[in-house]
Amino acid sequence: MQTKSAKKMDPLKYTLLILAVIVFIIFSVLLGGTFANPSNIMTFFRQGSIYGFVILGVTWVLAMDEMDVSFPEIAAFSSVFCSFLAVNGLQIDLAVLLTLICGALFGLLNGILIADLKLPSMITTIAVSGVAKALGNMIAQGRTVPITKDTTAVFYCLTWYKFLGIPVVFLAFAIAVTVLALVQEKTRFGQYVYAIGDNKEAALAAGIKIRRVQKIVFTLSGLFGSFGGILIMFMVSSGQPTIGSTLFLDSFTKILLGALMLKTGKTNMIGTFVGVLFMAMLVNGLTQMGLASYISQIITGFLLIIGVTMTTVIQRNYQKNALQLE
Amino acid sequence: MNKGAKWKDELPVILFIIIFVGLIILFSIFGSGFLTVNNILGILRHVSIVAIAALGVSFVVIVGHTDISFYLVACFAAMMMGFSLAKGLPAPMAVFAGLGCALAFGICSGFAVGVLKLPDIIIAIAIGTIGYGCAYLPSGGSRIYTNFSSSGIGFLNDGSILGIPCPTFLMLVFYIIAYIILEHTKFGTYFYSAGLNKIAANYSGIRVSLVVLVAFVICILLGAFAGEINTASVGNAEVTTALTLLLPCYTAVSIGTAIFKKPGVIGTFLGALLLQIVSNGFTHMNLKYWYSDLTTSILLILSLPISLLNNRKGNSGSTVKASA
Repeated sequence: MQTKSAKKMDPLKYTLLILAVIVFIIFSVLLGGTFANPSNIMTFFRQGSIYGFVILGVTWVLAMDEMDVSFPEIAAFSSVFCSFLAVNGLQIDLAVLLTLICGALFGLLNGILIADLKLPSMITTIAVSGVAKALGNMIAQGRTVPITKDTTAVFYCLTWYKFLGIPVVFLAFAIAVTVLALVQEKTRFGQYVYAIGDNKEAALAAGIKIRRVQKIVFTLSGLFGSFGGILIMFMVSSGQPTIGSTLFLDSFTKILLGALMLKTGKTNMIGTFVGVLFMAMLVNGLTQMGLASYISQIITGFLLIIGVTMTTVIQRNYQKNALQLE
Repeated sequence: MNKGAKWKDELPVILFIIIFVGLIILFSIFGSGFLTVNNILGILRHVSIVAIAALGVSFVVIVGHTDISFYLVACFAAMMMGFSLAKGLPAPMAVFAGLGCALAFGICSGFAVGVLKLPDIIIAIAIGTIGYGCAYLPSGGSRIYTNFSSSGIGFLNDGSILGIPCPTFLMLVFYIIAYIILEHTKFGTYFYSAGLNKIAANYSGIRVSLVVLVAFVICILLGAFAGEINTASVGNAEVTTALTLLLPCYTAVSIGTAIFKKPGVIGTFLGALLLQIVSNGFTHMNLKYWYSDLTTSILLILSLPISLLNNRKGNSGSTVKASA
């Protein structure tokens, strides 16, 4: 039944990928060589990957039918905290490590509040994001914290270096997505995440330790938010307490566009990967055409509404048919 | 309900009074000029922005949904108001121009969530993305000053009606209307019934889809109006004008839910008032704004379990929920 339903809901499976290819062709025709050359493609791959790391963890939070709006502020906090530690003389790699732990702790805080105290995830994460934002501002006194360039730092290499012409950060992003996608599809943990998202009561009855899975997923969300925040810090060479609000909308658009891929209507790793690259390409192409990035925001907003409507209608139709068959 | 458990029922109220009075005492001791008539009037004036927006959020929360797009659409409405002013429209027309744009967004998201029954969070993200993108359209993201002071839009913030500061007056009007509708009309009970059990409400002849749609429209309109007041007080239209509204609004509603065991008009107002006292008091203690942000977040975390506790005991009233 499960496999059948998966096959029946297929028509939208590769929508986003097809859309991406179509948009790529349109840009290539309109802009010619300036867009469709390897160095430009690598530019937006690199850009996209850095912002893509931020949302890897949230993908599973949404798949679990919970919400996490705190990761952008955790990213902002991490970028400030890490630069603050580095400026105050801590060895940079150590600072990064400490910051990652802090980010994970924020995520764990979310997880404990939501899993153990059973608080609603959306409002809880609004509160935790408020805490992260306030702490970030407190550390930075509301200003940006510039850091000195340290070319030996691991994350510096990750952000700036290239391997055979391909940005290292894109390779790292691709590897991370591959690993997480394997975990999602091939391990029990991944199955649990989607089982909880489908039906919490059923998952509980089946003996899944829901609370533990929730805590792990929220911790991962905080960890990846922190990771992305540190990458952004190395990219712009300063800790930025205000990146949170700009990350918020773009990130969710990418994840939710990605939900149109493969598992129709469900957020998933491969979908997020395609969503990230699609958005990066769209922004890059539109910028080269002389259109501001907010145009791409408006376009993706409409794409999102169309996509959600389509997937919901198709799923409902399918469910109706299934009921009739029974 | 037995008598032994009664003090427990009153616990949130007692807790709220303790925090409220405690903070006032703290601020009067440590902050210079906190407990003066001028400052209290100032608090009543400044509370109105968050209070008006939070009133809108209460409606959405009452019908059992969440809307995280209202503050992004509010940015657009405020920009449209500034744009209309720059184009030479009189101030009242400009206000309505902004509200009209917000209304279109409100109807869209209300229709999508209420009638089409699409997931509210995803719709909020989509509507918010479009709204915030549109906020850049009038000026490309730069501030709009043109005609601002000469148009008299400042009245929205500085003026006074019947001796009461304009924003406070408007806030009172909105709250009184909302109170009468929610507590004393049949239509108001529809909102609560829709929040409790959509299917049951449907069977008892309530057009739930319409009620949800109205709630979303109210939420976005009031949010947009709050954004416009904020813009009028700042003195120029800025894209980021309403971005700070999300956290205090949900905190106010959540505190209100904790006190009265269900989201409602008076609770939301008390929540907003508490937050304004916190931020005003911290300013008087010469502490930067992030301290009050931190306090707001902590108050939100604290109020959540209390509001849920009431709900889990089987009391009536919907609660701040993640999704329907």
